[in-house]
Amino acid sequence: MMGQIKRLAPFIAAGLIGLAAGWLVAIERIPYLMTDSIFARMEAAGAKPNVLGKAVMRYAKGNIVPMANADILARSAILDLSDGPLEFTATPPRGLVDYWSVSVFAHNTDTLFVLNDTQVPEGKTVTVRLRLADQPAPGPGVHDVVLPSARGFLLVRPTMPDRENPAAVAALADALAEHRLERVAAQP
Amino acid sequence: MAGTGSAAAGKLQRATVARVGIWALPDSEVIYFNTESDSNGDPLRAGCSYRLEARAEPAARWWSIGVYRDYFWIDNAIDRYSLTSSSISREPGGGYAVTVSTVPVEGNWLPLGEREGRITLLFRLYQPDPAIMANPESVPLPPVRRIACI
Repeated sequence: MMGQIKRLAPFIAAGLIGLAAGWLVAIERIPYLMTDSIFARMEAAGAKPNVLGKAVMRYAKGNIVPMANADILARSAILDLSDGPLEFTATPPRGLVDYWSVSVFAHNTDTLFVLNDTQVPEGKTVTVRLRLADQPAPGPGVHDVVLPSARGFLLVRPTMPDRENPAAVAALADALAEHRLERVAAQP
Repeated sequence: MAGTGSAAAGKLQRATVARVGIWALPDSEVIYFNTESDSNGDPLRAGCSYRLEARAEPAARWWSIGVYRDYFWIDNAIDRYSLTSSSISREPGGGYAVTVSTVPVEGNWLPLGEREGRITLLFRLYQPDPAIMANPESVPLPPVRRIACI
Protein backbone atom coordinates (compact mmCIF):
# COMPACT_ATOMS: atom_id res chain seq x y z
CA MET A 1 0.00 0.00 0.00
CA MET A 2 2.72 2.46 1.06
CA GLY A 3 4.70 1.53 -2.01
CA GLN A 4 1.74 2.32 -4.25
CA ILE A 5 1.29 5.72 -2.63
CA LYS A 6 4.99 6.47 -3.10
CA ARG A 7 4.76 5.54 -6.79
CA LEU A 8 1.65 7.73 -7.27
CA ALA A 9 2.94 10.69 -5.25
CA PRO A 10 4.58 12.52 -8.19
CA PHE A 11 1.39 12.20 -10.24
CA ILE A 12 -0.78 13.43 -7.35
CA ALA A 13 1.57 16.37 -6.80
CA ALA A 14 1.54 17.21 -10.52
CA GLY A 15 -2.26 17.04 -10.52
CA LEU A 16 -2.52 19.38 -7.55
CA ILE A 17 -0.08 21.82 -9.13
CA GLY A 18 -2.11 21.68 -12.35
CA LEU A 19 -5.32 22.38 -10.47
CA ALA A 20 -3.76 25.31 -8.67
CA ALA A 21 -2.42 26.74 -11.94
CA GLY A 22 -5.82 26.30 -13.59
CA TRP A 23 -7.49 28.07 -10.68
CA LEU A 24 -5.08 31.02 -10.93
CA VAL A 25 -5.63 31.31 -14.69
CA ALA A 26 -9.41 31.15 -14.19
CA ILE A 27 -9.57 33.92 -11.61
CA GLU A 28 -7.29 36.05 -13.80
CA ARG A 29 -9.62 35.58 -16.78
CA ILE A 30 -12.99 36.00 -15.04
CA PRO A 31 -12.98 39.85 -15.08
CA TYR A 32 -12.24 39.87 -18.84
CA LEU A 33 -14.96 37.31 -19.51
CA MET A 34 -17.52 39.19 -17.41
CA THR A 35 -16.72 42.44 -19.20
CA ASP A 36 -17.07 40.79 -22.61
CA SER A 37 -20.30 39.09 -21.57
CA ILE A 38 -21.90 42.35 -20.42
CA PHE A 39 -20.60 44.24 -23.47
CA ALA A 40 -22.19 41.59 -25.70
CA ARG A 41 -25.52 41.98 -23.91
CA MET A 42 -25.29 45.79 -24.07
CA GLU A 43 -24.54 45.65 -27.80
CA ALA A 44 -27.44 43.25 -28.32
CA ALA A 45 -29.60 45.86 -26.60
CA GLY A 46 -28.40 48.55 -29.01
CA ALA A 47 -25.24 50.00 -27.47
CA LYS A 48 -22.47 50.96 -29.89
CA PRO A 49 -18.76 51.26 -29.04
CA ASN A 50 -17.54 54.81 -28.35
CA VAL A 51 -21.09 56.16 -28.18
CA LEU A 52 -22.28 57.53 -24.85
CA GLY A 53 -25.58 55.85 -24.01
CA LYS A 54 -28.57 58.01 -23.17
CA ALA A 55 -29.60 58.73 -19.59
CA VAL A 56 -32.70 56.59 -19.31
CA MET A 57 -34.46 55.06 -16.35
CA ARG A 58 -33.68 51.38 -16.03
CA TYR A 59 -35.99 48.67 -14.75
CA ALA A 60 -35.73 45.08 -13.59
CA LYS A 61 -36.93 43.85 -16.96
CA GLY A 62 -33.94 44.26 -19.23
CA ASN A 63 -31.42 44.92 -16.49
CA ILE A 64 -28.05 43.66 -17.71
CA VAL A 65 -25.57 44.58 -14.97
CA PRO A 66 -25.47 42.53 -11.74
CA MET A 67 -25.91 44.48 -8.48
CA ALA A 68 -26.47 47.71 -10.41
CA ASN A 69 -27.33 50.87 -8.51
CA ALA A 70 -31.00 51.62 -9.24
CA ASP A 71 -30.63 55.24 -8.16
CA ILE A 72 -28.17 56.50 -10.71
CA LEU A 73 -29.26 57.82 -14.08
CA ALA A 74 -26.22 56.33 -15.69
CA ARG A 75 -24.61 57.20 -18.98
CA SER A 76 -22.00 54.77 -20.17
CA ALA A 77 -19.91 53.80 -23.16
CA ILE A 78 -18.08 50.71 -24.28
CA LEU A 79 -14.64 52.00 -25.24
CA ASP A 80 -12.65 50.83 -28.24
CA LEU A 81 -9.50 52.87 -28.72
CA SER A 82 -8.23 50.87 -31.71
CA ASP A 83 -8.81 53.80 -34.08
CA GLY A 84 -7.56 56.58 -31.84
CA PRO A 85 -8.17 58.42 -28.57
CA LEU A 86 -11.47 59.78 -27.32
CA GLU A 87 -12.39 62.70 -25.12
CA PHE A 88 -15.21 62.87 -22.61
CA THR A 89 -16.49 66.32 -21.67
CA ALA A 90 -19.09 67.18 -19.05
CA THR A 91 -20.22 69.82 -16.62
CA PRO A 92 -21.30 68.11 -13.40
CA PRO A 93 -24.97 68.95 -12.83
CA ARG A 94 -24.78 70.80 -9.51
CA GLY A 95 -28.04 71.15 -7.60
CA LEU A 96 -29.66 68.23 -9.40
CA VAL A 97 -27.66 65.41 -7.83
CA ASP A 98 -26.34 64.34 -4.46
CA TYR A 99 -23.38 62.71 -6.18
CA TRP A 100 -21.91 62.63 -9.69
CA SER A 101 -18.79 60.93 -10.95
CA VAL A 102 -17.16 59.71 -14.11
CA SER A 103 -15.07 56.58 -13.91
CA VAL A 104 -13.04 54.58 -16.40
CA PHE A 105 -12.41 50.85 -16.20
CA ALA A 106 -9.92 48.63 -17.98
CA HIS A 107 -10.95 45.50 -19.87
CA ASN A 108 -10.08 43.51 -16.72
CA THR A 109 -12.37 45.83 -14.64
CA ASP A 110 -9.49 47.65 -12.92
CA THR A 111 -10.57 51.15 -11.93
CA LEU A 112 -8.28 53.48 -13.88
CA PHE A 113 -9.85 56.84 -13.11
CA VAL A 114 -12.54 58.41 -10.94
CA LEU A 115 -13.50 62.07 -10.75
CA ASN A 116 -16.46 63.25 -8.70
CA ASP A 117 -18.35 66.53 -8.69
CA THR A 118 -16.73 67.83 -5.49
CA GLN A 119 -13.39 67.76 -7.32
CA VAL A 120 -14.67 70.07 -10.04
CA PRO A 121 -15.20 73.81 -9.44
CA GLU A 122 -18.85 74.78 -9.86
CA GLY A 123 -19.80 75.43 -13.47
CA LYS A 124 -16.49 74.13 -14.82
CA THR A 125 -16.44 71.66 -17.68
CA VAL A 126 -14.12 68.69 -17.29
CA THR A 127 -12.39 66.96 -20.16
CA VAL A 128 -10.96 63.47 -19.92
CA ARG A 129 -8.69 62.08 -22.67
CA LEU A 130 -8.94 58.30 -23.07
CA ARG A 131 -6.01 56.86 -24.94
CA LEU A 132 -3.50 54.08 -25.38
CA ALA A 133 0.12 54.65 -24.41
CA ASP A 134 1.17 55.17 -28.04
CA GLN A 135 -1.58 57.70 -28.76
CA PRO A 136 -1.13 61.46 -28.27
CA ALA A 137 -1.32 62.87 -24.75
CA PRO A 138 -3.60 65.85 -24.10
CA GLY A 139 -2.56 69.39 -23.33
CA PRO A 140 -2.75 71.02 -19.91
CA GLY A 141 -6.08 71.07 -18.11
CA VAL A 142 -7.24 67.78 -19.56
CA HIS A 143 -7.29 64.62 -17.46
CA ASP A 144 -5.19 61.93 -19.09
CA VAL A 145 -6.29 58.29 -18.77
CA VAL A 146 -4.07 55.70 -20.42
CA LEU A 147 -5.82 52.38 -20.91
CA PRO A 148 -3.68 49.21 -20.95
CA SER A 149 -5.63 47.85 -23.94
CA ALA A 150 -8.10 49.16 -26.52
CA ARG A 151 -11.17 47.87 -24.70
CA GLY A 152 -12.55 49.58 -21.63
CA PHE A 153 -15.64 51.13 -20.12
CA LEU A 154 -16.68 54.65 -19.16
CA LEU A 155 -19.44 55.15 -16.61
CA VAL A 156 -21.10 58.37 -15.43
CA ARG A 157 -22.98 57.99 -12.13
CA PRO A 158 -25.34 60.82 -11.25
CA THR A 159 -27.64 59.98 -8.35
CA MET A 160 -31.32 60.65 -8.88
CA PRO A 161 -32.87 62.69 -6.05
CA ASP A 162 -35.83 60.29 -6.20
CA ARG A 163 -36.35 57.82 -9.02
CA GLU A 164 -40.09 57.96 -8.27
CA ASN A 165 -40.20 61.70 -9.10
CA PRO A 166 -40.50 61.89 -12.93
CA ALA A 167 -40.05 65.68 -13.13
CA ALA A 168 -36.79 65.59 -11.18
CA VAL A 169 -35.52 62.66 -13.25
CA ALA A 170 -36.41 64.46 -16.50
CA ALA A 171 -34.57 67.61 -15.38
CA LEU A 172 -31.50 65.55 -14.58
CA ALA A 173 -31.69 63.71 -17.92
CA ASP A 174 -31.76 67.07 -19.72
CA ALA A 175 -28.64 68.22 -17.88
CA LEU A 176 -26.83 64.96 -18.62
CA ALA A 177 -27.64 65.26 -22.33
CA GLU A 178 -24.83 67.84 -22.52
CA HIS A 179 -22.18 65.21 -21.74
CA ARG A 180 -20.10 64.28 -24.76
CA LEU A 181 -17.81 61.47 -25.87
CA GLU A 182 -16.00 62.29 -29.09
CA ARG A 183 -13.08 61.08 -31.13
CA VAL A 184 -10.03 63.32 -30.88
CA ALA A 185 -9.27 64.98 -34.20
CA ALA A 186 -6.02 63.81 -35.76
CA GLN A 187 -3.12 66.23 -35.30
CA PRO A 188 -1.95 67.89 -38.54
CA MET B 1 -16.48 44.77 1.51
CA ALA B 2 -13.50 47.08 1.81
CA GLY B 3 -11.37 47.36 -1.32
CA THR B 4 -14.25 46.24 -3.53
CA GLY B 5 -13.50 48.42 -6.52
CA SER B 6 -9.77 48.72 -6.12
CA ALA B 7 -7.34 47.36 -8.65
CA ALA B 8 -5.09 46.65 -5.67
CA ALA B 9 -7.54 44.09 -4.28
CA GLY B 10 -6.54 40.45 -4.57
CA LYS B 11 -7.24 38.52 -7.75
CA LEU B 12 -9.90 36.38 -6.12
CA GLN B 13 -11.76 39.43 -4.81
CA ARG B 14 -11.47 41.11 -8.21
CA ALA B 15 -12.87 38.02 -9.91
CA THR B 16 -15.73 37.80 -7.41
CA VAL B 17 -16.60 41.48 -7.77
CA ALA B 18 -16.46 41.21 -11.57
CA ARG B 19 -19.04 38.43 -11.38
CA VAL B 20 -21.46 39.98 -8.90
CA GLY B 21 -20.72 43.72 -8.86
CA ILE B 22 -18.73 44.72 -11.89
CA TRP B 23 -17.39 48.29 -12.14
CA ALA B 24 -17.55 48.89 -8.41
CA LEU B 25 -15.76 52.00 -7.19
CA PRO B 26 -12.84 52.18 -4.75
CA ASP B 27 -13.38 52.84 -1.03
CA SER B 28 -12.70 56.56 -1.33
CA GLU B 29 -15.86 56.85 -3.46
CA VAL B 30 -18.11 54.07 -2.21
CA ILE B 31 -18.03 51.48 0.54
CA TYR B 32 -20.31 48.51 0.01
CA PHE B 33 -21.80 46.33 2.74
CA ASN B 34 -23.83 43.30 1.79
CA THR B 35 -25.61 40.51 3.59
CA GLU B 36 -27.46 37.41 2.49
CA SER B 37 -28.61 36.49 5.98
CA ASP B 38 -30.71 37.95 8.77
CA SER B 39 -29.50 38.80 12.26
CA ASN B 40 -30.00 35.16 13.30
CA GLY B 41 -27.71 34.01 10.53
CA ASP B 42 -30.50 32.48 8.46
CA PRO B 43 -30.51 33.08 4.68
CA LEU B 44 -32.84 35.84 3.50
CA ARG B 45 -35.97 34.37 1.89
CA ALA B 46 -38.63 35.73 -0.41
CA GLY B 47 -41.33 34.19 1.78
CA CYS B 48 -40.30 36.21 4.84
CA SER B 49 -40.58 39.84 5.85
CA TYR B 50 -37.75 41.74 7.49
CA ARG B 51 -37.38 44.95 9.43
CA LEU B 52 -34.29 47.17 9.45
CA GLU B 53 -34.23 49.83 12.14
CA ALA B 54 -31.46 52.38 12.55
CA ARG B 55 -31.21 55.11 15.14
CA ALA B 56 -28.70 57.11 13.16
CA GLU B 57 -27.53 57.51 9.60
CA PRO B 58 -24.06 56.60 8.41
CA ALA B 59 -21.61 59.46 7.97
CA ALA B 60 -21.55 59.59 4.20
CA ARG B 61 -22.49 62.06 1.52
CA TRP B 62 -25.21 59.78 0.13
CA TRP B 63 -26.29 56.23 0.89
CA SER B 64 -28.74 53.62 -0.29
CA ILE B 65 -30.11 50.20 0.64
CA GLY B 66 -30.91 47.91 -2.27
CA VAL B 67 -32.36 44.43 -2.48
CA TYR B 68 -31.42 41.88 -5.14
CA ARG B 69 -32.42 38.39 -6.13
CA ASP B 70 -29.68 36.36 -7.80
CA TYR B 71 -27.73 39.65 -8.05
CA PHE B 72 -30.38 41.48 -10.08
CA TRP B 73 -33.21 43.89 -9.26
CA ILE B 74 -36.45 42.24 -8.20
CA ASP B 75 -39.30 43.05 -10.58
CA ASN B 76 -42.24 44.65 -8.75
CA ALA B 77 -45.34 46.73 -9.45
CA ILE B 78 -43.85 50.05 -8.31
CA ASP B 79 -40.38 49.51 -9.85
CA ARG B 80 -38.68 50.11 -6.52
CA TYR B 81 -35.38 48.34 -5.93
CA SER B 82 -33.83 50.52 -3.23
CA LEU B 83 -34.27 53.36 -0.79
CA THR B 84 -31.81 56.20 -0.49
CA SER B 85 -30.75 58.95 1.88
CA SER B 86 -32.52 61.43 -0.40
CA SER B 87 -35.82 59.54 -0.65
CA ILE B 88 -36.21 57.62 2.61
CA SER B 89 -38.71 58.77 5.28
CA ARG B 90 -37.08 59.50 8.64
CA GLU B 91 -38.37 58.72 12.10
CA PRO B 92 -39.00 61.70 14.43
CA GLY B 93 -35.75 60.95 16.28
CA GLY B 94 -33.70 61.06 13.09
CA GLY B 95 -33.32 57.35 12.46
CA TYR B 96 -35.17 55.29 9.89
CA ALA B 97 -36.95 51.97 9.55
CA VAL B 98 -37.29 49.85 6.43
CA THR B 99 -39.53 46.86 5.79
CA VAL B 100 -38.37 44.33 3.22
CA SER B 101 -41.26 42.07 2.28
CA THR B 102 -43.36 40.56 -0.46
CA VAL B 103 -46.55 42.18 0.82
CA PRO B 104 -46.68 45.99 0.51
CA VAL B 105 -46.53 48.09 3.68
CA GLU B 106 -46.85 51.80 4.29
CA GLY B 107 -43.68 53.86 4.45
CA ASN B 108 -40.18 52.66 3.65
CA TRP B 109 -40.98 49.43 1.83
CA LEU B 110 -38.57 47.40 -0.26
CA PRO B 111 -40.39 44.80 -2.39
CA LEU B 112 -38.98 41.31 -2.03
CA GLY B 113 -40.98 39.59 -4.74
CA GLU B 114 -42.42 36.10 -4.53
CA ARG B 115 -39.88 34.00 -6.36
CA GLU B 116 -37.21 32.27 -4.30
CA GLY B 117 -33.58 32.92 -5.07
CA ARG B 118 -30.40 34.22 -3.53
CA ILE B 119 -31.53 37.39 -1.75
CA THR B 120 -28.94 40.08 -1.04
CA LEU B 121 -29.25 43.38 0.78
CA LEU B 122 -26.63 45.89 -0.33
CA PHE B 123 -25.78 49.05 1.59
CA ARG B 124 -23.84 51.67 -0.39
CA LEU B 125 -22.10 54.60 1.28
CA TYR B 126 -20.99 57.23 -1.23
CA GLN B 127 -18.05 59.39 -0.19
CA PRO B 128 -17.98 58.03 3.33
CA ASP B 129 -16.42 59.91 6.20
CA PRO B 130 -12.65 59.25 6.40
CA ALA B 131 -13.20 57.55 9.76
CA ILE B 132 -15.41 54.99 8.00
CA MET B 133 -12.83 54.44 5.30
CA ALA B 134 -10.26 53.77 7.99
CA ASN B 135 -12.53 51.41 9.87
CA PRO B 136 -15.53 50.20 7.82
CA GLU B 137 -16.57 47.84 10.62
CA SER B 138 -17.45 50.89 12.74
CA VAL B 139 -20.50 51.71 10.61
CA PRO B 140 -23.68 51.18 12.66
CA LEU B 141 -25.56 49.05 10.13
CA PRO B 142 -29.16 48.22 11.04
CA PRO B 143 -29.73 44.60 12.03
CA VAL B 144 -31.92 42.64 9.61
CA ARG B 145 -34.65 41.35 11.90
CA ARG B 146 -37.01 38.70 10.59
CA ILE B 147 -40.62 39.55 11.38
CA ALA B 148 -42.51 36.62 9.90
CA CYS B 149 -42.41 33.95 7.23
CA ILE B 150 -45.19 32.52 5.12
